[in-house]
Amino acid sequence: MRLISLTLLALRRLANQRALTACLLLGMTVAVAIASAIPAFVSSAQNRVLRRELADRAAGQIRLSGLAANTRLPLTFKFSYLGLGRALLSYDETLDLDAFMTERIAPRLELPVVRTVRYASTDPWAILPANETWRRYPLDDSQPLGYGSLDFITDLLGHIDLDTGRLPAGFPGAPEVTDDGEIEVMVGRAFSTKTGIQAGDMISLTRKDTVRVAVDLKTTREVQREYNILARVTAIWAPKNRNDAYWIIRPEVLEQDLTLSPEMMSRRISKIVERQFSLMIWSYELDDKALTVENVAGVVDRANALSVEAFEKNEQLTLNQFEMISALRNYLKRSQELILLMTLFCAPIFAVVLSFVVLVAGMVVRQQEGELAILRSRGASPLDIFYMYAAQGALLALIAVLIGVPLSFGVASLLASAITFLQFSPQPEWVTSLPPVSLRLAVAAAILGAAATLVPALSAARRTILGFGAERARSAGRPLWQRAWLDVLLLIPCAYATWQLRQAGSLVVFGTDVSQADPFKDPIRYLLPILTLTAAGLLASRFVPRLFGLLAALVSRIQPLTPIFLALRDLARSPKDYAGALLLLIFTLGIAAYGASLARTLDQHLIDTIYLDNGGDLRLIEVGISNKPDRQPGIPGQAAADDTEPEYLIFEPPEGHLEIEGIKRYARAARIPVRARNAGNRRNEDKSMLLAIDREEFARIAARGLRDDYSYAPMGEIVNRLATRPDALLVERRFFAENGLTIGGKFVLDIGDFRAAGPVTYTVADAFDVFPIVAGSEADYETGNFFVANAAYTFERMGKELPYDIVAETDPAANVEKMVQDAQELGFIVINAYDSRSKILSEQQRPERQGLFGALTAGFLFMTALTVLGFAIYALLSFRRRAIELGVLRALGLSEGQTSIYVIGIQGALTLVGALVGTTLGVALSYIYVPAMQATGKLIAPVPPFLTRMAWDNVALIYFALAAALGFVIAASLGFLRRLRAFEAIKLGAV
Amino acid sequence: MSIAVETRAIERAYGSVRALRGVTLSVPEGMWLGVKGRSGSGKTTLLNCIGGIDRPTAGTVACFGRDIVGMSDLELTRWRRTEVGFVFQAFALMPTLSAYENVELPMRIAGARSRRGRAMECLDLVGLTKWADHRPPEMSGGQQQRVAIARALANRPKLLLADEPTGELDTTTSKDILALLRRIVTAEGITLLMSSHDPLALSYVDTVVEMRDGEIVSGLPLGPLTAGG
Repeated sequence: MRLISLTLLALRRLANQRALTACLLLGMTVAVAIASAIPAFVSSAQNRVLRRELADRAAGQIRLSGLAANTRLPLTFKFSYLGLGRALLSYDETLDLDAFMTERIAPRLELPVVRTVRYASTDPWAILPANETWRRYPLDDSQPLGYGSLDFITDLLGHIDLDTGRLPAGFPGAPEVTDDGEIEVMVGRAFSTKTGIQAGDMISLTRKDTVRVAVDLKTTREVQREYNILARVTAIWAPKNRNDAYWIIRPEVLEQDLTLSPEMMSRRISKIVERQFSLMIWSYELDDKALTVENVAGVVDRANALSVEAFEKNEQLTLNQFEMISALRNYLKRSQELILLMTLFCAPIFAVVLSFVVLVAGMVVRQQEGELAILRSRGASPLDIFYMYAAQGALLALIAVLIGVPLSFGVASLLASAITFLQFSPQPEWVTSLPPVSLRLAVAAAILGAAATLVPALSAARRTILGFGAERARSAGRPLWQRAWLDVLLLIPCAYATWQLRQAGSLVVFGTDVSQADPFKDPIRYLLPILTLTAAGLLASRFVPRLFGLLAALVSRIQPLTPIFLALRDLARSPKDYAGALLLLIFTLGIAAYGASLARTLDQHLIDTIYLDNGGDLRLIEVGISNKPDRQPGIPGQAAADDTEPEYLIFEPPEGHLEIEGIKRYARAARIPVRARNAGNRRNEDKSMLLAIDREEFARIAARGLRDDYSYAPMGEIVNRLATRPDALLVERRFFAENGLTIGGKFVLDIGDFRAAGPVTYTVADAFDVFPIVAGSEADYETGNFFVANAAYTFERMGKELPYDIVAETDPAANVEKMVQDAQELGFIVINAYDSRSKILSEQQRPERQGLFGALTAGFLFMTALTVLGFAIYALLSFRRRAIELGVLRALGLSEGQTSIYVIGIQGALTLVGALVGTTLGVALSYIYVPAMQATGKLIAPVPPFLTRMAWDNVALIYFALAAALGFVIAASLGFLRRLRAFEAIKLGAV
Repeated sequence: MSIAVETRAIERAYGSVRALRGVTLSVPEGMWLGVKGRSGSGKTTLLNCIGGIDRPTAGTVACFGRDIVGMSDLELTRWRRTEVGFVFQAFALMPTLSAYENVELPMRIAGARSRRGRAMECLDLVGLTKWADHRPPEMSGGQQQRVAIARALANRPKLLLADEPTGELDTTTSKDILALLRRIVTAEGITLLMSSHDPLALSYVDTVVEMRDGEIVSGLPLGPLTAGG
C-alpha cells in the first residue's frame, strides 16, 4: 500500500514538474537513441564491407571468365574431385561420394541451399566417325574429329534447348536405357558446328589407358588397354542463357563434351570401363541474402571444417571455391579492423553520452534538493526517496527506450549515409534492422540514465531541511573529485601510457597483425586519448574558478562592469553549480576538435599518400620501341650473339604530351634500378632505385605531394638543389648519415640499364626522407636505397634515354581514358595509367572508410548536439534556480539591463571558458595522439607519416552551434527576466 | 515634521485578485510603523508598492515628496539604490558572498567609491564585525537577518522596509533583531515600515495599522503621526 502511494506520488511529481521531466526524458531518449544507433551503424558498415567484398569477387570472376558485366555470381560452395593419374572413380564410387556430400556436407552449410548442381565427367575420349557416317568423312578415319569427355550434369534440361533430335535414352521423356540398346549421347552446338556431326550420327569413342597388372605375387607391370564405344548422337543442344549462374562449368566447355544420362552412365558405360570418372563437381548455391555480418565467421569456419572433412573422406576431394572463401576471410579481417577503428572512434561518443546523462540527471536532482529536504523533514525515509526516484527512473527509462529505439533507425541511417566527414550521400542508406547489441546498449543507457538520478537523489535524501541549508553552505566548495585529487591521480597513468605510446610510435605496434588487435584486451591503450582528456579536463576545471576569480578581481574596480564582476565572482565562488556543464563543454569541444582533426588528417593523408605514389595528378607508364623490333618493347632480354649493334629504346618526343587535351604540364620520371658503388653501408640493393626527373616541371607538378616534413627543410628547396649542378644527386637522409656522405661529395651509381649497365658519377646535393614515386607508401621503405637525380644528365651519361613515366598535372575535369587514348593515338605506348583523383575517389568510397568517417561524423554531431542540448538545459535550469537571486539584485538596485548583463555574463563566461579550454585540450590531444593512430590497419598507409591537420572550420561549427544555443538561452532568460517580478521571486523562499 | 511616505488610495490587483483596495496612508519621517494583519491581508504588497519593487494598479505613492508611481523602471531602480533599504523574511542574502560582500553589494551597485568603511560600520552596527568573512549559510538565522539589516542600511537609506523580519526567527533572536531595529530607527532617524503579525514585533513599533483584505481597518491615522510615539 505504501509502495503504491509512493509510486503515485512519484508519478504526480513527474506530472507536476513537466519541464524537469521533459529535460530528463529528452536526455535519456537521446542517450538511448545514440547508444542503440551506433552498433546498428557499425553493423551496417560491416554489411557494406561484406557486400563490397562479394561484389569485388564477382567482378574479379567476371573479368577472368569473360562473362557479361551484369552477370550475378551466386554465393556458391564448390567441391570437386579431380582424379589425377590413376585415381579414377568407378560409378559406384561417385555414388558413394555423392551420398557423402548430400547427406553430410550440404546440411552443415547452414545457409539455405537454393540450388545443387552435380557434374561428373570422364577423361577425354577420341571421337571418330563410325561406319554409318563414313561417307561424310572420306579422308582419314584414323584421325579423330575431336576429343570429348562423357559427362552428365544434373538439371540440365531446364537450361538447354535442343536444336535438333531428341534427348538421349534415360532423360525424362526419352526412351528407357536398355542393356542391349544403343548408347545415346548428345553434343553441343559448338561441337556440332566444329565437327559436322549431326543428330542421328553414329560415333566411335576410343580411349587408351595404361594400367598396372600383376605378373605374379611380387611383381606388376604396366599394360595398355584400349576401350571402344559405339554411340549415337541423338540431339544437338545449345544453352538457353550462357550467363546463367547454373553453369558451374562454362557451357562452351560442356558443349565440347558428350552428354548422356546418369542411368546410361551406370548401366552401359560402367560395364565397359569400370573406373572412368576423373572429374566430379558438387556445387551448392547458397542464399546470399541469408549471409549476414553475424554468420560470416561461422560460414567460413564451417567451410574450413568441410574442407578438412572432405579431404579425410577422399584426398582428391577439395573445396575449390577459393575466391569466395578468400573474400569472406578478407571481409573478416577488414571487419576486425573496422571494429577496432569504430571502437577507437565511437568510445568517445559513449563517454560523452554518459556524461550528458549524468549531467542532466544531476541537474534535475539538484533542482529538487529543496523538495527532497522537505519530504525528509515530513517523515519520508531515504528508502522512500530511493523508491520514488527508482519508480520515476523506471518509467522514464521505459519511455526513453520506447521512443529512443525507433529513433535510432533514423540516427543510424543518417550515419550510414555519411560519405566523408560531415558529408552525406543524397541517397540515404537506410538501416532497417538493429543488431541484438543495439537493444542491449539501449536498455543499458536507459538504466544508466535512471541510475544517474538515484545517486544524487540518495545523497540529497540524507538531508533534512536543516541539513540542506548546511549543505548549501558547502556548495561553494570544491567537487568531490577535486577534494580527492582524482584528476591528478588519473592523469599520472595517462601520462605514463602516453610516454610509452610515444616510445612505441603507434597505437598498434608495427609488425603486429592489426586484425588480431583486440581493443578489449588493452582498453587503456585505445581509450588513452579519452582518458587523458578526461583527466586533463578535470584538472583544468580545477583552475577555472580561480580564473574567474582572477578576472573578477581585474574588473572589480571598474564600476560600469559591476554586473560582469558579479557574474565572474559568482562563477568563482560556486564551481559545484556548473561543474557538470563545464566538463561537458570541455569534453565535447576537446573530443570534437580531436575527432574533426583526425578526420581531416585522415582525409589529407589519403591525398598525400596517393600523390606520393603517383607524383602528380596522373602518371602514365610508357615504354619505348626497341630498335630490335623482333623483341618485345621494354622487356629486357639477351642480345643475340651476332648482334653487334646495342639495343636501345626509341621514344616519341615527350613534348607530344602537351598536345593531349587535359594535360597542363608534364615531366619525365624514370625509375631506374641502381647499385651504390662507394657506399659502405648498403641495404638491400635489389630494391635500390634512382628517380631521374625533369626537375623544374616535376617540382611544379608534384607540389601537391611534396610535404615539407619529407625532409629537414622544405621540399621545394630540396628539389631545387638539383638545379645547382647537372650531376646533383639527392639521397635519403638515413643513407646519407649511415655512409658518412657530405654535400658536394662524389657518388657513383651503377645504373642497371635496359640491356646494359654503367657507372654514373653524381655529386651529392642534399638529402630527403620521403620522395614521391620512389619512396611512396607502397615502396619497401625499410630496405631500399633511393636516389633522385636530373633525368637529362643521367640519360646523357648513359648515352640514351631510359624508360620513363610521364607525371602530369591535369585538368580536374579531364577524362583519363580519353587522355590515354589520345596518347596512344599520338604514338605513345601507354601500358598503365594511375589517376590520382579517381584513386582518391575510389578510396573514399571504400565502405570501411565511409564507416570510419561515419563514426567521426557521428561523434562530432552527437557531441555538438548533446553539448548544445545539455548546456541549454543547464542554463535554463540555472536561470530558474537563480530567479530569487535576480529578484534580490533587482530589489537592491540592479537595473533590468544590468541584470541581463549579469545573466549573459554567467552563461557567456562559462561557455567561452569551457569552449576555449576544451578546444585547447582537443588541439593538444590531436598533436599528441593523431600521429599514433596511423598504424591501425591496411586502411591507413604507414608512409607518409601522419601530419596532424587541425580542422578549424569544423571546430568553428561547434562554436557557431554553441553561440546559437547561447543566443537561445539568453533570449529565453531575458524573456523570463522581463516577466520576473522581484517581489514574487523573493517571496518564493530563501536564496 | 515632514512626511516620509504618503499613499493615496492605492490599489493593486493581480488578475481578479485585489490585493490592495484603496489604501491611504501617511507616515512621518523617523517613525517605525508596524503593519499587522493575517496572511494575504496585503501587508507585503503594500510594502512592495511603497518600496518600488511593485507598482500599484491605481493611486499614488510619494516617498519624501517624490511620486514613485510615475517613475520609469530605470528611475525607480536608481531611486531604490539610495533611498530605500529592504529586509526580507527569508533574509535574501547572496549565498556565494560573504557577510561583508553582501553588505557592500548595494553600495557597489549604486556606484559608491569608498565602500569598505561603510560596510564595516554597518556590520559593526549589527554586531557582526567578526563574521564579516563568513558566508550566509554558515550563519544562524538571526545572524543572517542582521547581515540583511546591515545590507539594507549600507546606502544610508531614509526609508527601511522590513517584511516579516522576525518571521523565521525564534523569540530570543527576534527580540535581538527588534531591539537592533529600534536602535537604528532612533539613532539614524530612519523611517521604518515593518509588516508582521507577531505581537512581540509589534510591541516595538511606534504605531500599528491593521490590514484586512487589502484595506487598513484599524489604527489608521490619516494625519501625520508623531515619530517615536
